[in-house]
Amino acid sequence: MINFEKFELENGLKVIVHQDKSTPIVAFNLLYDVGARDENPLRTGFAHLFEHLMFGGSVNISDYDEVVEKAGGQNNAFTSNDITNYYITLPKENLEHAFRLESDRMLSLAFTPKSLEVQRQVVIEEFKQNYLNQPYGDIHLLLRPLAYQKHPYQWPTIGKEVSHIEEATMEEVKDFFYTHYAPNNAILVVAGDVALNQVKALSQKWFGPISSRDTPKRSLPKEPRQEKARTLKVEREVPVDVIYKAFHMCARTHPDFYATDLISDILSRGNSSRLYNSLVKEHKLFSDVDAFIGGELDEGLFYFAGKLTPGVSMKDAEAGIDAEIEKLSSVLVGEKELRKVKNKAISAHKFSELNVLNKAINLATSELMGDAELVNQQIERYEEVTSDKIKAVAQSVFRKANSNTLYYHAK
Amino acid sequence: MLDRKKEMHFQEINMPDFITPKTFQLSNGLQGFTVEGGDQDLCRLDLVFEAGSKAQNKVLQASLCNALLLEGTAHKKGEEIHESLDFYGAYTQLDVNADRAVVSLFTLNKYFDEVLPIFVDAIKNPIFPEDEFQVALAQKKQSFRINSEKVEFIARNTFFNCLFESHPYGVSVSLEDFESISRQDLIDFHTANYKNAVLKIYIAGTMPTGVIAMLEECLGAWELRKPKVVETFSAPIKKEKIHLSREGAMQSAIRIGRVCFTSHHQDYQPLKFLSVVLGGYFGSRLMSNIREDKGLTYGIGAMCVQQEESGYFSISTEVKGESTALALQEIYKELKRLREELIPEEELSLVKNYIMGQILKSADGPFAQVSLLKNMHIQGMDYAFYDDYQNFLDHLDAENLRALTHQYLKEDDLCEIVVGNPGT
Repeated sequence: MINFEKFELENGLKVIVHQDKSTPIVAFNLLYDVGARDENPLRTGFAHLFEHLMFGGSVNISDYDEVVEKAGGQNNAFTSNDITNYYITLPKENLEHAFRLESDRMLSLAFTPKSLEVQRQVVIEEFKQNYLNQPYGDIHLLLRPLAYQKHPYQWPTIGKEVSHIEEATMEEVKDFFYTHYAPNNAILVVAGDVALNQVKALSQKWFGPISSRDTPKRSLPKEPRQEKARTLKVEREVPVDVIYKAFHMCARTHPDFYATDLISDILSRGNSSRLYNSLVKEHKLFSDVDAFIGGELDEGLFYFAGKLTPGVSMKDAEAGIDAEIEKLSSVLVGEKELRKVKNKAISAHKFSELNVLNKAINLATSELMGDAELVNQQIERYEEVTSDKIKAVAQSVFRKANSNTLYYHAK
Repeated sequence: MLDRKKEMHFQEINMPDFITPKTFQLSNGLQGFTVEGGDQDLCRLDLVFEAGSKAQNKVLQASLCNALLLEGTAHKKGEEIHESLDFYGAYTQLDVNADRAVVSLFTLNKYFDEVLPIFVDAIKNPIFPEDEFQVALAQKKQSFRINSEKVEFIARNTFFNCLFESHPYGVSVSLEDFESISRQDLIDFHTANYKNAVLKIYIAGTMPTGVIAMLEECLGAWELRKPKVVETFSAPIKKEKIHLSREGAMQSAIRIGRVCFTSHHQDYQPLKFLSVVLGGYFGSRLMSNIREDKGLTYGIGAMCVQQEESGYFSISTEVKGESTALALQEIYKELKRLREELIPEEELSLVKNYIMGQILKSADGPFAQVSLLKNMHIQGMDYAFYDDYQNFLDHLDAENLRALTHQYLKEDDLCEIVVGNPGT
C-alpha cells in the first residue's frame, strides 16, 4: 500500500507526493507523456534521441549532470514506446536542486548544435552496440513491423534505421520539444522523507511560472484485427536457431490485462513453470524458452521466445510451443496452479515497493493510465482472475491468425 | 522574480546512519547477522559459502554446482522443490563469483516457516540428477557460444587472463570445458565446499517470528569443518598490448588496466577515488571527452575493484570501429593529464559529493545494507571501513593523488586489449 497525495498546478502539471520517512533519499520522477509511438514514421528514434538531448544543457543551466553530482544525486532516464521518464535520486537535503534542474529543462533547452551533433553520434553507437553489433540484436527491428502494420508500435524506441537519426535537424528537435515537453503533458512524483506543503511550495516556485503549451491530442491509427498468420524467416551469423512468436493482446488498461499477465506467469515464471518443465526439461526442444508480455499501454504483444537445442528442427520446436498454447486454450488451469502464480505476482509486487524510486515510477505510470490509485489495486486485480477467464483470454489471444512468427536461423 | 541562473547552495552529505547489525550464533558455531528494518512483512535470507570459482579444481565446477543446488534431493525432485517455493511466492537467487557463492531466499514473512526447511534441505542435500545436469550444461554452453560472439565478452576474458594468468581470477571458460565436466565433479565440489561448511548467514528486513530457532533447527547440527585460510595473491605487472581482429565487428571493445590490491592496501581508497574522477560517473573525464565531446561511444568507464585476494584497475568501453585509434589516444591523454596536472579543488569536491551520494543510496534500507555488510565481510572489513573512508574524503590531497598516478597509472604499466575492428 502506497499512500500519496495529489495536486495540480494552474499550468496543468500534475504532482504526486509520497511520504516515506524511512529513507534519506528522495526520488524525483518526471514523466512526459511522449514516446516512440508519437513519432513521425520518417523520423523514428526521435523521442529517444531527444532524451539524450535533454542532458545537453538547458536555457539557464549549462551542465545538468554537474549539478546533480554536486548535490550527491544520481539521475537517468528511459524512453519507451509510450513514455519518456526522467528521474533523479538525491539526498533529501538537496531536493530543491532537482526542482531547479527539471523546471529549467521544461522551460527550454539550450539547443546547441554541438549537443545535437554529439548525441546523434552517441545514439548511433548505442544503436550499433545494442541492435546491430550484438547477436540477435535485430530481433525487435524485424518482429515489430511484422506484427504492426498501422500502429506506430511497428518500430522500436531506438528507431527503424540509423538514417532517421543521422538526418534529424535542429528545427525538428525544437519542434518536438515545444510540442511534447509541457507542464500539461507531464506528471511529477516526489517520493521520500518530504512533506506535502514543502513539495507544493517548491513546485509552485519552480514549475508554476512555466506556461502550458498546445499539446495535440493523441490520435494514433488503431491496429486492425489480424486475420492471417504472418511469418518471417531470416539467416544470421549466430550460434543457435531462435524462434519468436508474437500475438496481439489487450491494452494495459483493459480488464483482461491481469489474466494475460498471469498466463505469461503460468507459462514461464520460475522453474516450476510449464514451458521450462515441458519444453526444456522433458522434451529438450529448447535450451531456454520464455513467454512474456511487452507491457505497452496501447494494444501490445504477447511474446514467446526460445533458443533451440542444437539438432532440433524449427518445426518441432514450434510444435512444442503450439502444444502448450493449445493446452491453455482447452484445459482449465487448476486451482493450485492459479494460486501459485497469484502468490508469486503478489509477492513480486510487494518486493517492488521496497524501493522509493520504484514506488515513484509506479505512481507516475499509474497516474498516466488514469489514476495513481491503480497502484494500490494491483493485488485485488490479480486476485479476481479465474480459471475460466484465463481460458477465455488464451482462446482469444492465441488464435493462429493472430500470430507473427520469426524464424531466426543460424547460418 | 526567480533567478534560475543562480546556483544554489549544496548541502554537504553525511554518512548514512547504518543499521547496526545484530549477530547470533548457532550451537555449532555458525555465525549469523540480522539487519532489521522496513515496514513490509518481507525478508531476505543469504547464505554465503566459500565456494567461489577459486575453490574449484575444474573450470565450470563452482558455477554449475551453484546453479543446480535446488534441482533435487534424494527425497524430492527439482520440480517439487520449485513448485513449493513458487507456491508460497518465494524467490531464490543463486550467485557465484571467484570468491564466494551466495544462495538467497526472498520471502513473505508469513510463509518463512514453510519455505525455509525446503530451501535449506535442497542446499544441504542435492543429488545433482543427471538429466538436470545435462539441461543446465546445454544451457550454459549455448549462452557461452552466444557471448563468445560479443567483442566485449572476448575483451573482458582476455583482459583477466592477461592480468591474472592461471590464478582463478584469470581463468575463463572455453568450449572444451563443457565436454570434460561431469555430474560427479559437482558432487565432489559440493562435498568439499558446501557440506558442513563454515557459511555465514544474513537476514534482512523485518524478522519472521522465531527465525533464529528455525535456523538452528535447519543448520545448527552441521558438523563444521575447518575454515579456509585466505591468501593474498600478487600478480606481476603485465604490459601486454593484445589486439584481436573480429571480422564484421562494427565496434571495438577496449580494456586497459592492471593488477592492484585488496581493500586493505593503503592506496586502495585513493586509487578508487582516482578511478571515479577518470571514469566512475556520468560527468567523469573519460565520459566527458570520449562520449560527450567526441561521440565515439555509448559509454566508457573506469573502476578499481577489490577482490578477496587481489584487485584490479580497469578502463572499459566499446567504440566506433573506425575511431578505435582515436579513442585509445584520448584514453591515454586523460591518463597523462591525471599524471601531469593537479585535480582542481572544485572537481575534488564534486567527486566527493558524488561518492557520498552513492554511499547514501547503496545504504538505502535493510536489503541494500545487508549487501554492503556481506561485501565488507568478504573483504575482512566492518563498518569502520566507512569511518576511514569519510576521513579520507575529508582530507583529499591533490598532490598525493597525483603522486599515486605516477606509481600506478603510467602508460607503460598498463596492459591493453582491443577486440573488434582495429580501424587501421
